[in-house]
Amino acid sequence: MLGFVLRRLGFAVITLFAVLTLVFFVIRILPGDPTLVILGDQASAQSIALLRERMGLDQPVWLQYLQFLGGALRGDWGTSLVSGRPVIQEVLNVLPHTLELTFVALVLGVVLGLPAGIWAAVNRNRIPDYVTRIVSLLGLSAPAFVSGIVLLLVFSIMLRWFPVISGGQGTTLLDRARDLALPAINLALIMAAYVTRVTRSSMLEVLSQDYVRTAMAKGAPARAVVWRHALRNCLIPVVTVVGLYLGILIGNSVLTEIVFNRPGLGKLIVGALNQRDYTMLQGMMVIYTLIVVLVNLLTDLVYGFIDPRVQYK
Amino acid sequence: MSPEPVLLVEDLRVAFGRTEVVKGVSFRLDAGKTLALVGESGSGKSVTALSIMRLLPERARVTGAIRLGETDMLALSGEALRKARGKKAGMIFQEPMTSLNPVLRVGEQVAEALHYHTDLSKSAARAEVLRLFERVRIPDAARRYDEYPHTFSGGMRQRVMIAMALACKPRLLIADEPTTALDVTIQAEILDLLAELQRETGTAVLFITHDMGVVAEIADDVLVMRHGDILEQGPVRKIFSAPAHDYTRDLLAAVPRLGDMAETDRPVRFRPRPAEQIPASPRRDPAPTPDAEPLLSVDGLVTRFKVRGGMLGRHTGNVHAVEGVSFALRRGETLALVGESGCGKSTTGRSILRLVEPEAGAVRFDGQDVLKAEGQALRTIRQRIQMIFQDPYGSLDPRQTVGSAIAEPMHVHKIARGSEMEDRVASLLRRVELDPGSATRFPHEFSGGQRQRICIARALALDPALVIADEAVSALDVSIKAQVTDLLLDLQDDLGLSYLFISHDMAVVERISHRIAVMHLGRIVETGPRSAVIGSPSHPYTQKLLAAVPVADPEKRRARKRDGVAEELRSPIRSVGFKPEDAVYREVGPGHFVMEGA
Repeated sequence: MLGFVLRRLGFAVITLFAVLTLVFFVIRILPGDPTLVILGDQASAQSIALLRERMGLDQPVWLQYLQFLGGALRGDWGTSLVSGRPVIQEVLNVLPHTLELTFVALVLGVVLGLPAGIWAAVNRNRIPDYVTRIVSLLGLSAPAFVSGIVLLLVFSIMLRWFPVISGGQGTTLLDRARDLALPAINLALIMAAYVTRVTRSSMLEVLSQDYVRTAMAKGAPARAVVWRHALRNCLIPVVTVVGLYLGILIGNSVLTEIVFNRPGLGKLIVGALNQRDYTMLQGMMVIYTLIVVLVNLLTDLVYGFIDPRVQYK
Repeated sequence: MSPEPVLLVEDLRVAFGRTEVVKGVSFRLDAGKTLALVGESGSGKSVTALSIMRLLPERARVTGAIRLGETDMLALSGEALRKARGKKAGMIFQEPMTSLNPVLRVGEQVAEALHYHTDLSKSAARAEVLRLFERVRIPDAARRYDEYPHTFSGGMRQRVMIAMALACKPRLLIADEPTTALDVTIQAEILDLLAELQRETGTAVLFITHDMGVVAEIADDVLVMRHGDILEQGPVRKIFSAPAHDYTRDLLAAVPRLGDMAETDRPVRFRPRPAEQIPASPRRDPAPTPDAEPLLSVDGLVTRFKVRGGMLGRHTGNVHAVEGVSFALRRGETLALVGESGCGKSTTGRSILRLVEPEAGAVRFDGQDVLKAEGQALRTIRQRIQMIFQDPYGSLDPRQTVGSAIAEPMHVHKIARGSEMEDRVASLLRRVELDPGSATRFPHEFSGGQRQRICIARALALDPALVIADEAVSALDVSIKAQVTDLLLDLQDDLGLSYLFISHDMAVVERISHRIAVMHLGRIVETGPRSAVIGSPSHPYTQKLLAAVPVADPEKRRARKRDGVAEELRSPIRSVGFKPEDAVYREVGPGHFVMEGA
């Protein structure tokens, strides 16, 4: 088990290195000059050259690459080309907001989706099943910015239950929760829709297995059949989807953060893209990769808790 | 009439939509008795069993009467039905590998049954489960209580299932093909165990099976079903001595005779070949030619698989799947490779074609060295050795027409094209007794037996000299099995084919083979002419194997003695440096060799 984790972390380092390399070169291949973005197209050639020198852009690409790798190893991801503050500082400033949002959305999504999926499967081809399938399809089809705006209109503007701008600056727990509620629900809707559909199909599959028939033959009540015998077996595909989707969820937070005007990685990355903030983009990619790799490792470890047949070698 | 029956079924009818699958079945079953419900797939026997437990899907329409003691099972619903299941009747199923929940500890799965039907405390339930485990002879019960099903062998899992079904002391035990998926020696152990438990508890047993040999072993009464109807029913002796129905006779013919064919070394058909089908002049002499060089000779074949483990996936051991196997196969001859699962018989077949690479040894096919052949030479050899596999469902691509499946090997080896190809496909289909028009249809439109015929046609497409048939008829219903076996024999006569017939099914082996080689733990322990190996088995393993095969004679059932000790299979996994001893063989009769020692 420990060996498995260490080996997987070793792979994670290799993955990170590959991503760093890829990101570094891809960003430099993209058209557009960051100095022009910063200084505007009226800037003099002299000031552009000065800025290029200050940013290290005048050096050969391979030297920039080595400096970048060396810095990344020391935890120095450079300074933002735009704000001049260290990238790592900027990222760490907003990371908790995004993690908070994603985590709450994830939990909400599972809490809503899992029972809904089970309910649909148990009542296959009856009204609860149709309702769940239609609602979850809606959840999948509504883009985050549309559902976000609808949520804002209804709950913030008409009902005035929640703030329109979720600044994330609330000091008391209740304030924070009020800030978080709408963005988290918005993000959780899609998550719940995915979880519902996977749970439903996985549960249907499990309910047709021989051991479920065995459980019924020994006189197990219906709820024991579902909760004791079927649930754990149906969780594996659900965990896979949740794990895969967590990466997407962090990406999806971009739209939600913009609609609700909430600080976070999403807003940071869009800003960095618009302003060609190379160093910032590099740092963001590293963070994203790290999160995805860790989530995958976590997913694999969860399998072992669910299924005794899984062995870590 | 005897006292109140345990189970009384009257005019039971089950329909799915408009199709009636059980059409008016009636029978009674008394305490301490065993009733065998016999039939092939689609006979309605399993549906009958499931309807007693009310385990059929909701869309099934069940009418008639099912009385379990005082209880009218068809009138129950909800909580009352739940309480009847497991308490009034326990059930064991065919697939021990999938019938236990993989994520729950086996002990808890049995204790659960007690929990639903008794007031036992947790620790009392555990003690009771341990006692049940001892009774079904699960060794080291206290430790195994907390293990998960995947650490149990098939036979052990079936013992767990039996413990579970009997936990609440039901008066009826329904066993739905409980030994079909098990090896024959394990089957014998389970049947003995069931008989013994029945004697102790007086439980009535409803035993569902397709195997008349098993019926002869255990049943008091027999009920033969086909297409949802009862064909005949009666006491087991009467059914076996004077079967009233042709179909019952067919089922009986599918049971091994073991020794009744001692007078000849030639294969024996299930049914004689109709005279008009016998070609006027066979292409080649159908009898194997004893003196000529063998078509295939295998010498000291070794195939091992690496076992990896530990932190870095180190090579920690080897599965000695095939260990020093030698045999020869002449033209027009059938050698049956028999043994139980995991004995290495399939790996031997695959190693010959180099579908897995052997580690050592020599394989010569028609004068060529197969293990050294490369490129075109290997392709030519593979063209002349064809394989037929067990699963006719998995062996055909569902999206490929039958004609294109049969034509594919000829495409690959550039043998024919265009209209010539179509003609060949049509003649191959006729050859396996299928309508040439089926070439444009898809595999799902055919039955299992027809699909296996298609696989045979595909194997014949390249005009092979040797066919390796890996459990080729094992998955088929008994009557279909007889037809396909007869077809294989006809093809051998007409085309002079040699067969390496890999099988665990003694009923077919004793008919199809000229010679038999018995494999155990990767080695051939005994080989010789069929009549000699079956008639006077000399190796202890062969004796044990043959003693476990059920024969179609209810009179002989108690005559055979077996020790009731449950034996876990010995493992063929050895450490890395392990050097097995060379096997030494002793000739006990003409061409009949037995391995010395272990």
